[in-house]
Amino acid sequence: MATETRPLLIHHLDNGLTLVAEPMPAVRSAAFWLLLPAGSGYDPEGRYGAAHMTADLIFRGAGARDTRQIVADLDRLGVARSTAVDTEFTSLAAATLATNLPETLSIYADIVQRPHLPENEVEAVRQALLQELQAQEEDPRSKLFNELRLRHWPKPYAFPPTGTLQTVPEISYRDLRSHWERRYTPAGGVLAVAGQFDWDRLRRVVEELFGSWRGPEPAPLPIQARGDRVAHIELQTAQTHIGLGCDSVPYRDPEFLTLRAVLSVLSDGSSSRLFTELREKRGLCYAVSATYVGFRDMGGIVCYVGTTPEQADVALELLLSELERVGREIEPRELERAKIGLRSGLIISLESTRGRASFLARDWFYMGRVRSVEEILTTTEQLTVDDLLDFLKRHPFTNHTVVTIGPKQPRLPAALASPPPDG
Amino acid sequence: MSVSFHHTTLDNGLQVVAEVNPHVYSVAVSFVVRTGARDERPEEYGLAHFLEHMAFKGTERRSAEDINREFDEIGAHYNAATSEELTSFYAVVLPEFLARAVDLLADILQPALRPEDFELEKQVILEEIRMYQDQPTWTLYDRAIETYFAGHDLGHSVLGTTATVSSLTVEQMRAYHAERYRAGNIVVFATGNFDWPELLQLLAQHCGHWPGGRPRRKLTGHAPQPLVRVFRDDKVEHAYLVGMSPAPRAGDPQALAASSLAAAIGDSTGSRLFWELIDPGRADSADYERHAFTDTGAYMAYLSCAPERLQENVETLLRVCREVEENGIEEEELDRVRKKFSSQLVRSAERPMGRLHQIASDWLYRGLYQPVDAALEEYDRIALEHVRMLLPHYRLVPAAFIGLGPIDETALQQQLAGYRTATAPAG
Repeated sequence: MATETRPLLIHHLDNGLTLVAEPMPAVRSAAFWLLLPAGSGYDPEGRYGAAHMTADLIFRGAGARDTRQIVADLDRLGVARSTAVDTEFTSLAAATLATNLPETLSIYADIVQRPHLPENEVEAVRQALLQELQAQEEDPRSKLFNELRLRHWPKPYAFPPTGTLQTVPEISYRDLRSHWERRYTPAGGVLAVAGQFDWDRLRRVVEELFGSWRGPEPAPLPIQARGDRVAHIELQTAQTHIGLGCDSVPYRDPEFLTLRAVLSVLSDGSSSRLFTELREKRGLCYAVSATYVGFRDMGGIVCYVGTTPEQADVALELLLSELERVGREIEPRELERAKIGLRSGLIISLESTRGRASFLARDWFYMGRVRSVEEILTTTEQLTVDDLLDFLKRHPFTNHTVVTIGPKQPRLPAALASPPPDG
Repeated sequence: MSVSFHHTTLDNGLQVVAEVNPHVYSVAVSFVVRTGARDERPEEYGLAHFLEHMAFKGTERRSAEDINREFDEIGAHYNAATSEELTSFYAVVLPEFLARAVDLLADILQPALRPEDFELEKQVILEEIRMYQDQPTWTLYDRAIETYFAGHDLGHSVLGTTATVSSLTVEQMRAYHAERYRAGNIVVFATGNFDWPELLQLLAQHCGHWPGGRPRRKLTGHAPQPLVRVFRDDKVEHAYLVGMSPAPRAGDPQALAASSLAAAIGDSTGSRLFWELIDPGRADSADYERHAFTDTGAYMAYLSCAPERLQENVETLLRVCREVEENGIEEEELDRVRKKFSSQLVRSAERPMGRLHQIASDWLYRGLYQPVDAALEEYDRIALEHVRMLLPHYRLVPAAFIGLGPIDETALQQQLAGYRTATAPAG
């Protein structure tokens, strides 16, 4: 049942935009993700945050509607929405009752193609963002992830898409306008739809709304060198917050699912390595995790643990030793649990129209195709312990970036005390 | 096959409430105990939440390691949560694992409470308390609840404090468990793709022997005093403020009208506070919500902004609340809220866990079950008339303000005093 074959529907528009859709006949809602290659990676030097501010400004009047009318109409249609900017893309997501899908799409068609971009609202956008950044600054965990990103990835991937308290004041109206003109383009974009819809009608509506949109092919992002990889930020926090990054494979790598299984052994569920060793056996923390972070050509893992400052040395040492040990030994039973967890996690996440639309959009954007659920389940099912260990021999969790926030820097192992060369 | 509702009570008083939906791919099960932080004595603060953690640390049949491993062996998405009034343990699994999920959940509700596990888990809880101390929003929420509900059973943090948690004993926990975790105080909810007779048989097998009875809970109304309190923290340079005033309790016939009113004032898009404070970039957060408990409720306004903007933003918040108190809201605003609530209801009902929350909330606080369509009709029926009838009974201008950050308490007090004199109360 969960693995029944569902038709994946694809329609290529002349302008390079791809419509990818999957019907879910038993639901009454529909969701879409419009993913455009208008990422923050194109932000001008020193003016990081421009793409993020553009994504706010495009909602302030578009087509025949002013800001108020856009909000009023989307609310009237019951649209739950979110917009996100990452280095490689801007995504506009919406979920609504199935009957409201065409009208919702028409509003979004205006927002991306015919925004008013009112210059007199730039200050409002900037002030909102600055206050949000100030609040983030005081949440040690968000601050840690930003600081880690800054040190772990090469530019422009290093920069937080939101910009920083230093760069946001430097952004001009011109930057926003130019980002929209040059980067909001159908070529390389994907519109993923999941839920209740009629395919013929959807295709026609999308052609009408997006078919005449024209724009250039997206330019590749220039990748630069990385900076210092070890840092401590002194703050009188209750816990010491430890963040650790390691390189691995990108999402579209054929071995991504192998990495996903390794991460599951390390960090999915309460019988995972990190939870067992740091929390269950030693009571060192409440939160500990290892998660995947990926881009088109790069990928890696990011680990987090928050602990009492006095225990930070032990927590960091244990975290590092678990990252090393997983490359040496994995029990067959651990892999079995990982497989079941990945299977149920995938099926459950695809129950919502939103989850499914996001899956379609991400696969298409990163891989140029959408994997079937069966393909993922079968590939995962066939993995062996040797596959995982062999993968980790070729892609060990070494060459760490370590960032900590707290009253005192934890003791670093000798290998880390002198920062690794750029990898 | 279509969606069907089932309900029964076992001989020992355990209630089972279920909605079967053959069109989904998973099943969600939740054991909800009607117990929480409000059922603790002062020296026990944090006990309900600590007990929730201890449930996962071992039973007569299983070690902590067994529990963790077995949940992962069935690929369960599972967790537990403790609030002021409820402690719930839940799992979402693929249908083939229902029997093992019910076995596990039922077993952990009767934990062994071994002293060595207790001491180790205490360290984890102390880490959890420290983790929240590093997050201003959480810190402020706890301070607000403590201050606003001072003297009431709701007036303390669910986590307890470092001091209370450090001194808790296994004996206290055993006594609390024996008293509160009796079958008559527990409701099992299940939604999604499963077989009702099979679920009943599993529950009879695993829970039929649980001791019956239903402990009492002290319920008292709450009459808050007007107050202004600011908490300082050297690390916090941003301004965070909560404003609270009484609102209809959970299950009150006016609850839906009150939630609609709160959403019109301050939900995340299109509300009055959105246009006044978020759209123009004056604050990074500004919302207005209703929090509801069995015997009382509270409207809660939340503001986060740069400290130099606080005074002006508070003025706006007060003005918006007063305007609504005096003139109510427009049909257009109510319609916006109705449409949002309906869309949200339909979308979250499409997943078993989302549907489970809806069913549990109706059952626990209103003693009823509603199919999705009946709930949608209920939203359609909310009228301006209901909102108007509510207004004279509950003030919207906050009675109490609790702040965190570099906020001048005296200036805020003067601002509010000036405001209160200038505007005579509406009701």
